[in-house]
Amino acid sequence: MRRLILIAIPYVWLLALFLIPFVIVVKISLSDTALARPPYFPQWDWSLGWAGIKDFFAELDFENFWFLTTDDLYWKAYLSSLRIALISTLMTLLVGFPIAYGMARAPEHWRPTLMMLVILPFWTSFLIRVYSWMGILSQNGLLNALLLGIGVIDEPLIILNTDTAVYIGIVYTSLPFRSLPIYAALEKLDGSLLEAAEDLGCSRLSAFWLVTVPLSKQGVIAGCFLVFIPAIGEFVIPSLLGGSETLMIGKVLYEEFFSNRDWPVASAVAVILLLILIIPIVLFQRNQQKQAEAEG
Amino acid sequence: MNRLSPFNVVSLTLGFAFLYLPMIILVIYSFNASKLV
Repeated sequence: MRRLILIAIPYVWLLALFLIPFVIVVKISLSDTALARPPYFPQWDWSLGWAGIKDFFAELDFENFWFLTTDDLYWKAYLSSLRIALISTLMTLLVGFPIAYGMARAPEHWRPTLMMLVILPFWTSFLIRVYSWMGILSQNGLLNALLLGIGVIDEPLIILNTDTAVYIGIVYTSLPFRSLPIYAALEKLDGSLLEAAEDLGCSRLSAFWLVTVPLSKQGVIAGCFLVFIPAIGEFVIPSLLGGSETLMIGKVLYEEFFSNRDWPVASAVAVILLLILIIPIVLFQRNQQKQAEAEG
Repeated sequence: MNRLSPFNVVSLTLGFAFLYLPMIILVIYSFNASKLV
């Protein structure tokens, strides 16, 4: 009985703070736009009685979901978000793996400090860190001034307001998420395994490739999901660093919600985004479960 | 007691520089004579 109560607490939390808001969003996605407050129709009215409830359900339809298939913008935005998230995940791997590897090979008494140094940026404001990249990447910003001063380029590079800046932004903000699972996996690696590999005739590089990489696979996969899933729904980074051609579903959702005041279509976009994300989330959960079973 | 190889030192330095330089640059640039404030 006590265990039931203990489990019930997170369930109640999830019910109140995730399931009920999600049901509300689904309901709005099935409604029609109206020039009213709130801007959708029909609205739930307890006073109308049973007939009112029947009318309410009669007004709900899947019109908004059909609308999403007619306009090119939406599926292009989904595809573009997927592309940007995949490339960012790969780039974060290239940048994050050496950091995690360096951390794992560092002397014992350095490791807590290094870990703290990796986590510390999270204690600062996310938005301000993205703003700092705006200052660096702009046409008369620091990077261009540096490159022009050295003489490497003749004209300022256009980086801000392109996809490249979005990649840099996502890599920058996701780097700790990427490094920490890989570091956790690499730290458990036994140094004697690498020694044994070298005794058996492997060079340093092939020892790395044949021993370290397969054993760190779990950490790499966990890090992939931790970067990929938020990256698809990103809004702040494409909004600040991306240009008008940078199509990401987070931006489309924001514009649909606030500029067009079309809550039903925006809710439909959100529901489909969640449905698309369920696949990687379920895969991630299964991966974590497999890892937990393999250890325990 | 294991020493870090040069590759690891370079990768750690570059990685942490990538993480911290934008924040430091932002702080340095925030000391400006702006007419708005």
